[in-house]
Amino acid sequence: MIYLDNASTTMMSEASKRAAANAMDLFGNPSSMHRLGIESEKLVEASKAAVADALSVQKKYVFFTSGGTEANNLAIIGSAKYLKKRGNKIITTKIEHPSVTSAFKALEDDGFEVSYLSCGSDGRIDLAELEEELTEKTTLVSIMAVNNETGIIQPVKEACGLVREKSPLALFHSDCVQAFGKVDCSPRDTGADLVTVSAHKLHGPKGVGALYIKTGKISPIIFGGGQQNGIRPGTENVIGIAGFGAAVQESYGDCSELYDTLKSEIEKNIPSVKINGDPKYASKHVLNVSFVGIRAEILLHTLESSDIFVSTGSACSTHKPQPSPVLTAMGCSKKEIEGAVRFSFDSSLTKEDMIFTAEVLKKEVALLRKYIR
Amino acid sequence: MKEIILVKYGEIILKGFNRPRFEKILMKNIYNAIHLIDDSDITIAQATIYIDVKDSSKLDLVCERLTKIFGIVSVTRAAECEKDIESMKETALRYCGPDLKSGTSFKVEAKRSDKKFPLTSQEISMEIGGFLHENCEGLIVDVHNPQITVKAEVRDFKAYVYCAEKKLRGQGGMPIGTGLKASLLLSGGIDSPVAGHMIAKRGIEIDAINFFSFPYTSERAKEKVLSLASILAQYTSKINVYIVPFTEIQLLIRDKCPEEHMTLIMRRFMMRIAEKIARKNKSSALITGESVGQVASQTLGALDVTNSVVDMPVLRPLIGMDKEEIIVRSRQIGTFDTSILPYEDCCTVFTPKHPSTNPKRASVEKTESVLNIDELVKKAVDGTEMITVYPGSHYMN
Repeated sequence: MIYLDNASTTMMSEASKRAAANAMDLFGNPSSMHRLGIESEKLVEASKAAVADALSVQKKYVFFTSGGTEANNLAIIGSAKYLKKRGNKIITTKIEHPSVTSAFKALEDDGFEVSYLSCGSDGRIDLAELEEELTEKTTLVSIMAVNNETGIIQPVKEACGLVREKSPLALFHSDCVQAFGKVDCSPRDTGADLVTVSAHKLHGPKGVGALYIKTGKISPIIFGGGQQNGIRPGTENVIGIAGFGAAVQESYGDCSELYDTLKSEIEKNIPSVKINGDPKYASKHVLNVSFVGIRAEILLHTLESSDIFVSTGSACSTHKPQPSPVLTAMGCSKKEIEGAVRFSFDSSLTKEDMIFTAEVLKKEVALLRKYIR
Repeated sequence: MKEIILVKYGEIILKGFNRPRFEKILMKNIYNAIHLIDDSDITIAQATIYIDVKDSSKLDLVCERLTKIFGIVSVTRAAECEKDIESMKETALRYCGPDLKSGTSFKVEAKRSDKKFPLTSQEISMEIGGFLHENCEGLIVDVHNPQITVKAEVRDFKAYVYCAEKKLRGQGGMPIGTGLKASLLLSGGIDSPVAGHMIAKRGIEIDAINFFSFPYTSERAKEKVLSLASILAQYTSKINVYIVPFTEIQLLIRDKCPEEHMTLIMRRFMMRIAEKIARKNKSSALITGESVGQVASQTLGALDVTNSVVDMPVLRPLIGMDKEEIIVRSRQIGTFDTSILPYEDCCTVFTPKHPSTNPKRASVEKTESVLNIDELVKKAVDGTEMITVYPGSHYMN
């Protein structure tokens, strides 16, 4: 099996599995006063320290959530609501993950004024446009660190700098789900106030994530028994959190050789392909390629028969066409979007795997092109 | 107070010499549908099937299953009591009392099939009616337009009392197994499951045949077809689904035949393969979801072209229905929500831009003759995989 869909999710590492399995023996509620509770609490705190370490921040700023989606919602809805009295102008981009875009859409329905920054064909947002949009009334800016479809690194540090300069009272959020553990996205370096991370993109379990919250300027979006300072109440997912803590202590590894090999093999051997996003800015964990004239979903299933697993930029079903908003924002043509396949890497793969994948692609793409109009 | 389920069946009462056999089949179908839920006693007398459910908490579930069995016209929960008028009065008050108290007017309709019972039907109605009237304050008798009708039946061994308003409607039709077997061409769409339901309702056992074009359609599309079959199996108890590998044939047609005939030639292959599979599995007919004029491949001309390759009856129960009517039925039988899931089925991938709407048999025969038809059909039939599907065994939503 050649699993090239690591940006969707990863396999759990042995260390993460072991930590989660061991946590199953600790059944105490971390909030209980007795020693069974304290044992569980210690485990949660140890994982929190590990996540904080990976982000180079203090432990007290890390809050566990049910995953990236909840962390993004808490960051955006929670801070926009908290700062509502100060202003209602908020900014994000057209290439964010749906959990960010949808949260902004919900705020827009509630009367917030939202600007969606556009994106160049290189896959990066335009800082000049951000500068124009920033005003004193701006309360929140959210820009992702690495795009989930193209793997393109966004100029988060520079963007945060602009925000500080033009809108000193605004909070800066960065969705770092695809960046965490792969490219440096520490808020110490970027200056972000809010950072979203998730466990299952780096060999941890599904259903657990975290939000780094620097300032207390956030309202909870769910309400309960006061756990995690009331910012994210609810009994902690001890098993998931234990797995998360173990996963962040391992290195994800370098994937640049895999990226370079697959990219050059495809470009060398297959005609009419387009690499989406400027490789100069690639995080090298994701490679997005348009095989022009092919419907990506069919190619996906063909590769599946050779035990190669990838994902498509967009679902191509005739009943429900949903072109990728990211590739659309980058100005890709309809045919390029239809034929876009995402390969996302993991350091356990080999160069030979990439050469083999490119060979299969070459054969299948030629065959499919023969039949598809 | 003992509660029992009374099942009434319709059309098979009209059958002559076949009636006892048909009743036996219906009882067997009932047993198959409910025996895993409850170890009920199932007996038959005087054109009524009595189901004595042992675990009373299972009554609702058993009733729900019964309403999906073909041949049953109505399903009623009733209280059983001794055959004396005092006990019938008490039972009527206890069993129907809560409903009566929520209404304003009522009447009692009694029936005695045991003519030795000392009171006539009229007298039974009056006795029970009077008693209920006395015991339920504010309730008036209205024999023409009552809100609630209390039914009392005196039968051979026991009497039964129930509210007519609580009667559940059954599917009607004939019990499966009273006819032969037919094979349904099941796609992932809205129409074919409805067609299958309609024919099964006439007592015909059904198999399903699906044409699978991996990688042009995904594993999810196959799961979707199995889920649809699993919903149909609620009515038929189980369905054998034959999955035919179809990719090679579609690619060859796409490659070698004119675009405007693509769909027709594909459908001719489907019919040929379906007939072979049907005969192999002792099916006597094919069933399709075609409705005349719905799409280019379902015009009269097109039906002639596709029909001409098979030598067995092709049942098309939807032939004169509008899409709207088909959708209503699809919602009723519960397949609609699954049918509209977005995974492509093989009919939508290889669709020509301008299909021929008035094709001629001879010209299609000529254009498809470049293909080695017999060999391709044989290969597809040999590669067919069979999956048996039960109610709830596949679920996708």
